[in-house]
Amino acid sequence: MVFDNPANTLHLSIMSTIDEVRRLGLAVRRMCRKTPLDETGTYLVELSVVEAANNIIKHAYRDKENQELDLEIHVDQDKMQLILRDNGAPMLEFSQPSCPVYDPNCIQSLPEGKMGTFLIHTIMDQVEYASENGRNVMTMTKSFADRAGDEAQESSYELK
Amino acid sequence: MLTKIENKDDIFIVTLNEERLDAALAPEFEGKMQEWIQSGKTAILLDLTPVDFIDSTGLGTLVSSLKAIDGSGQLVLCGISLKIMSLFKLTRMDRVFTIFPNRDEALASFLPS
Repeated sequence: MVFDNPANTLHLSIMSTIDEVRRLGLAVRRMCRKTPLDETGTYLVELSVVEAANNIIKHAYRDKENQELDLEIHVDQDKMQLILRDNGAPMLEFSQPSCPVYDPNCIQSLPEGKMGTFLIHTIMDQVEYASENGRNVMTMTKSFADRAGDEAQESSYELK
Repeated sequence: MLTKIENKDDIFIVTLNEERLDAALAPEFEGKMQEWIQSGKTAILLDLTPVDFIDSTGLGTLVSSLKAIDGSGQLVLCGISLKIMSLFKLTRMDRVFTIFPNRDEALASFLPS
């Protein structure tokens, strides 16, 4: 269910399935059109929400379907806030992880997962998490003024 | 899952005709890649031109494919948009994969068998 009111705020609720996460992604993309974010910035914000939602379904709800996952987006002049709420198991530890360590020359050592939280913290300017009375809230803030940390946006294609 | 398969000079070319390589598509895509590699495809060019969004689960399927073909063949990527390249750079996977902007350059990179 989507409520657009006012134009710079959006509420969207989905059920806890991986297929439904796409709807969240498309909603984020739509709201990013109201911001100064370019195509790469929009992709990275969408990626953050998708990673957070995937984590909620996998870890908080442990792949249990028909659970509620809410997204609220607020767009201001200088930032946007993306708030995800769920009723699943709370995160026991919330900290900024580093990029998984691996040797690029050792193919078999490459990580195949566990990069979502790292990406969220790297892309967003602020990430907060709270759990109270069985309700978990993750608040991600993306500033439009500070593009530091988005160096990947500025880089050109590097050929191997 | 929509894919287009071509063979050119012993190179197995897969075009993923999907807008999103995400957690929803990842299991099916990974299964097909493993099937192709195990059936003896040792030179694979994966054309991601139609793909508009990849998440870390989708990226993980590319990594698992690279691991599966490691030592026995080559997996080369092409057609990755600038915005999706930002995911490769943030995770440092741009240093791991062989990536070309277009198919012609990617095809020319394959070693003769």
